[in-house]
Amino acid sequence: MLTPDAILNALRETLAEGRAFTSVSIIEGADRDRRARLLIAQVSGLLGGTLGDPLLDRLAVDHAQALMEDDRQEIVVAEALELSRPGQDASRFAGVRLLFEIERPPLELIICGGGHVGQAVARAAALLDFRITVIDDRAEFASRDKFPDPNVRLMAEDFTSALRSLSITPATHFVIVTRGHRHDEICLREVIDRPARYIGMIGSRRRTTTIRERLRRDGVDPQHLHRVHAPIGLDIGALTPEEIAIAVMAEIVLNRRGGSGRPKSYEGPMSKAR
Amino acid sequence: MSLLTQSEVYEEIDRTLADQRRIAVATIVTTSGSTPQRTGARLLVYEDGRMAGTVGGGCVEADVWAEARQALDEDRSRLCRFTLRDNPDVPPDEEGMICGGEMEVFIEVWGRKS
Repeated sequence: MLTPDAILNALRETLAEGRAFTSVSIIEGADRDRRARLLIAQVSGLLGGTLGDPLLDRLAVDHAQALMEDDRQEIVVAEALELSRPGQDASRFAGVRLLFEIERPPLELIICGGGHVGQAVARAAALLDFRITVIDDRAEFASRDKFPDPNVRLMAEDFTSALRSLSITPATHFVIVTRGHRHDEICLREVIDRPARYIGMIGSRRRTTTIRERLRRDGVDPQHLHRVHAPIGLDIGALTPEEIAIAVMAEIVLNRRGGSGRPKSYEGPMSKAR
Repeated sequence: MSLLTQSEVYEEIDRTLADQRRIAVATIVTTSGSTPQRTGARLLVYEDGRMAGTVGGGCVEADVWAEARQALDEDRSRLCRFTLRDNPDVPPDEEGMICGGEMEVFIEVWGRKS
């Protein structure tokens, strides 16, 4: 049986790697008094424990991995029988219900560029509890003067070396908003194949398409290119840096939580009698 | 509403067991219908009746607390179902938004009973 101390260590190590953590327990059906636990890390898999049956453990690990890929999931109850696939003899799990408790690492936001948009994005992201890092190769922009929030980490150095020194995890979000598309492209090339959750780059449709094309010609994996959000942000008609920041953060929330991105009143305000 | 995280819960279990005390962890695992309660909310209940965290307050919190104390007493984890309309004297429409919901709470007991 796992001690709370052992569970805590596994949990902390997993979150420190930027991965989500799931603990699975049996809440109904066999053996629920044995405090069976199965601990699972996002991507890397089983950390320890058992639910008392190898097949049940395997089904739980697979389901946990699927749940951890979907940021909306925090607490899920599943029937063990429904997790099995045809051909697996899972009849002994009839009536067994599993509880999946998911904990996610703190969200990280790395803003490339400390200009007006970068400053506004930092303010908007603070509202959403991101851990924020700002990189700019101009010291006067990666400064406390421009980013008065003491929780914002500042890196006044070359974009490439700064990005290489950071640990990038599935909890990392990149917002690339440097002073020009040359630096945007340098940043994008640096991060495009890293395991980040979100990569967005500012620019006009034409500019971003040009950069995309150049990366494609240079052999960047099309799948990696496909996941880049460029031009960055939801289309809300944003003009000012602050409005752009809201459009960017709205897209990041959409990316995490899912949703249509449409107004909730899409069918027309009050068009349907309730 | 800020809920207890798993890390916070295990830290507290660890501390409590280190003091040779016992603790019950009540977690809302499912909700249905209209309830102000949120899945993932956790209430920690100690043998002396003290508690930490919340499952959303209201009468149901008292019910969960009572079940958790019983679980500690009997030294048995359990899954409990609650209907969120425990005052039969009040008609449903006067209870407003909080009535009619149901929820399941998993109560897990930690620590050996002496």
